[in-house]
Amino acid sequence: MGQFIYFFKTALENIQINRVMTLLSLVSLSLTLTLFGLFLLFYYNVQIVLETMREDVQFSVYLSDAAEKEAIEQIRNKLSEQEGVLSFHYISKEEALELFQKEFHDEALIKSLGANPLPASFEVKVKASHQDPQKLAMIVDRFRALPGVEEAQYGSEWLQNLTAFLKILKMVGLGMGALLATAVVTIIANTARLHFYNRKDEIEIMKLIGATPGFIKIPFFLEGSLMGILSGAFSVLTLFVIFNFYHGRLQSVGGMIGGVLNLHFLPAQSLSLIVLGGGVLGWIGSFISLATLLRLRLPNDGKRRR
Amino acid sequence: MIQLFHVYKYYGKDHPALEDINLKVEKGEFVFVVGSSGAGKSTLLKLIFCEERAEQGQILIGGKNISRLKEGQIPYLRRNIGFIFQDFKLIQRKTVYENIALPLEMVGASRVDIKRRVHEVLKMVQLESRRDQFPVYLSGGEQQRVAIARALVNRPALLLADEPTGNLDESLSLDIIDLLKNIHTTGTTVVVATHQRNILSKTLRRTVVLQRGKIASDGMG
Repeated sequence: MGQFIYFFKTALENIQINRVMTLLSLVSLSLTLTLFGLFLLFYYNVQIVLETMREDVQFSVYLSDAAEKEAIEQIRNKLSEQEGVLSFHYISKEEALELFQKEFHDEALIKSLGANPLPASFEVKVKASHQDPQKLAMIVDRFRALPGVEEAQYGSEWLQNLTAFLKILKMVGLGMGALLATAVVTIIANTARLHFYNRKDEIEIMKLIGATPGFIKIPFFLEGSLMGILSGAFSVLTLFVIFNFYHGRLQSVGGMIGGVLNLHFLPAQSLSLIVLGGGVLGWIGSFISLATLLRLRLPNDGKRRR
Repeated sequence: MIQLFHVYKYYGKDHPALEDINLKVEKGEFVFVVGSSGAGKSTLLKLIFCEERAEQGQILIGGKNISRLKEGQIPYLRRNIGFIFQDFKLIQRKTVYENIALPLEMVGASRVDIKRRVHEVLKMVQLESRRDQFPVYLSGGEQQRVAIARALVNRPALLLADEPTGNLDESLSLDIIDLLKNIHTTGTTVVVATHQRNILSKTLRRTVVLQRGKIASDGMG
């Protein structure tokens, strides 16, 4: 505990001694983490919208006109037993026509159909866990093969596009996260090295009176972490201000185009990820930067190696 | 306490700093190492302190051979040796108290112990009233006394002093030597390297004379 107080005091002293340099680094770090936070905010909201759309994923099992009652019962039973089916309901030929009439108010078109050409069907809603295009295709294929089934269909292309979009977004996020993390590590590594050189004389004295490399370096690691955490906190604050500034404006734009644009701020988990992630990256940055320092020793003859 | 067997140290092939040094310092002894500039006094202390390595020979400190000491073990050796430098080597950004407390911080001593020990050594060097000052506001003699306090705070069995009075006038030099003699009476082994023969004339101690890297004489000065 005593040593931790010393390390913490020295880390704060480092920050105080190099005020301007620290401030500049903090600004760069906060901007970098804010950029990452903005992406997280975008991803989080897109995900919420897409998850709402996913709830509507369903498929239809169209029955042939010649389907026997037993065949329909069998399909009903199979649907009840099928894993991944959230709910289903039966639409008879008559109900199908009524629905069609409701959607298309064109009397002439309906008269031109003559006898009711629409098939009876089961409309099946799928659980979120089974909305993966491959899993869904397997279920649909199973029903397509049953007797009495004319056709089984689902919006495969739409679902695949949705999944692919989320996947791409995730990849972009990961790539961007990696790039920005590298930027954070680099900024902190440079700052830590500069601060270290700034105290070179003191460090030489400390080595002479018995300080281990760890004892010398820990305050610098702590300083890196503190800077990361501080910039994380600043960026969360900036994100909050940006979110509140644009939230109202974007909502009114949503209203203008006829929809509801209900944006959500990042959950506490993601916010703490930014702050703590900043701290961890800060530690890593200063660690990488100082790892090889202090190992250098003067050659025995006191001359520079060529 | 200190044993050197056939120790050689070169700065380049043609510049022997120490040649075939054989020296034994018993526990509790007070030894002066004297010689002109470049005679090898500082090099001798640096070898004992592991600041430099000998090319040949063996060096034993407290019975432990330090010739092949790994780099990671050097800090732990230094914690058991107090070293006083000619240029004091105080950290200017730290107060007198913080400078003296540093060796105790390194070993993870408790706040209470640090406070108590620092107070003890400050009393010994008579600088209690200067504890919160920064070194830059102290005179040369006071700065050297702070450096001595820092060297003693860990209660080392061995105290090495490299030209401890080199930057001080004669009266202050004698004060510092008196202080070192007082420390010696507590049982600490003290080795002082100096080129100031005038401070030797005032005291009768074992004196090792170095000339061009070799021991020219060893006896009571």
